[in-house]
Amino acid sequence: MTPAEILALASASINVFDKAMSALEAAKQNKEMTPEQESEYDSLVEKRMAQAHWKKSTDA
Amino acid sequence: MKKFAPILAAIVLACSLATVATVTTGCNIFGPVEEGHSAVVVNAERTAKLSFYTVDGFLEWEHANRPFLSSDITKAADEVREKFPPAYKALRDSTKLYKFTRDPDDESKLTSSLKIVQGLLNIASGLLPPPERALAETKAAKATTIPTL
Repeated sequence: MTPAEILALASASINVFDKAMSALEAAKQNKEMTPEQESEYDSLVEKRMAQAHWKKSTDA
Repeated sequence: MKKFAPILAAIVLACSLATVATVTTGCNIFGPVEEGHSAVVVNAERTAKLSFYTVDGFLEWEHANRPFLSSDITKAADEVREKFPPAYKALRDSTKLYKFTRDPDDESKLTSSLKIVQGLLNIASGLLPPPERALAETKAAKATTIPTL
């Protein structure tokens, strides 16, 4: 492994860790979502799912 | 790089499985549900968020690093890309329906949707290398010298 590859792996790991922390933060709720929160959340999910990383590799 | 990618993916999926399992089996790591709110609904919404953000992060990482990854990881990611959206939608739809009706039949549909989402994460996890191999490779990774910045 070259130093550049190690750095790339470290960077990728940090990004994945950040995402995991964001997931935990987002799930910190102790009451039901309001209709407004649901609408905002569902809209965010829809936008994310429309991005390139949700397309299958064979479709690229 | 390819050698270590399955380990990272295994860690991400293992963490997500553990977290989703913890949340959905009643071990409440986020504290008690407020009075007047349904624990079933709150847990379903937590699971939806956790599973979505975890899968989204995993797919984004796979997409960004695809040239360096083994084809097995991309194959697993593609399977998740195909199967997760309908399972996730079913979970959200059944949560909304149960919130509206509070009917026991709808609660059982919601529970089934939760199991499908969990099962999907299990399938993805099953495509990864055995834990023994991951553990050995983790030890090898720890021995690698990381250059000083």
